[in-house]
Amino acid sequence: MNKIRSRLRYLILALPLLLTGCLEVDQFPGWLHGEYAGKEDQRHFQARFHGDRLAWSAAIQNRAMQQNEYNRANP
Amino acid sequence: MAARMKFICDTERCIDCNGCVTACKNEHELAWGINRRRVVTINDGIPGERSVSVACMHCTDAPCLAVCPTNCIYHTEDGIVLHSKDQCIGCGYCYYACPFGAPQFPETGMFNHRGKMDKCTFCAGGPEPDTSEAEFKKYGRNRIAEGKLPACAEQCGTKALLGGEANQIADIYRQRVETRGYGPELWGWKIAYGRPKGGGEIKAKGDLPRTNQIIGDVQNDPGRFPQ
Repeated sequence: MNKIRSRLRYLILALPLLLTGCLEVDQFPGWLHGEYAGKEDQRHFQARFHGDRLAWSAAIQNRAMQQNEYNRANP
Repeated sequence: MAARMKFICDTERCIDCNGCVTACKNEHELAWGINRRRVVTINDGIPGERSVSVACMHCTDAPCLAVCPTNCIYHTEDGIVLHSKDQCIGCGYCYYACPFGAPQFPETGMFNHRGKMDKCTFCAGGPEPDTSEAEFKKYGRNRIAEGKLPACAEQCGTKALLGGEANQIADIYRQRVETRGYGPELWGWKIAYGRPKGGGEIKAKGDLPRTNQIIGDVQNDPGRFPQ
């Protein structure tokens, strides 16, 4: 019983280590202090969307779906 | 996860009209000699010729970004590759590194003088205040900040050129291929698109007749209504 318990303990301790392999790390530095890797730029949703990222992304996704003409008349 | 903006050109639909090239030049008021986008035709004049519209593909692991000696090229958080013309020295390394020939140089002159690099911005401007006059002069219009997609993709008459969030346009493309019953059958197709299919398997493989080549099929008989 004790053996199983100690094994279980090791397994639980090792779990975070195993799960770190599942992370998807961004390959490029993100937007920080108004800059992308030293180049001063705004984020896409700041100028016209009052910083509302969701509204901007919804607008973009709507436009993207309009490219699918099967949504208008499915053959 | 942040969006990844991409282009995809459906070669079965592209009719080599160069509308995308014209729309791009018009939208950004580009200088003479600069084509941020162009249409390449393969096997021109031979049955089975295909055209594909090419510009910056906004690579996830961009080689131009890796080779730029002044580090003027950068990725936005939505996967759009942009560059700073203030930092560009016009060396042309990015042109050699790019597999698509996307970087353009406006001038030709003595001693290999090229001018600042110019390339497709996915209509997302560059490192200037968004939708400002300065940004327009240097990088062209910023449609992304206005909540629009690139002009080339939005105006495409046959909807061959798709632009937008990668997952979304891949879904549109997959639906198309499943509906018409054949695809490019490229290496890597299954990795990119091979999920359980709702619309059926791809029927014609290799050189077999395609559904649109069958006489009497709905597509070839304008009098009939689809079933």
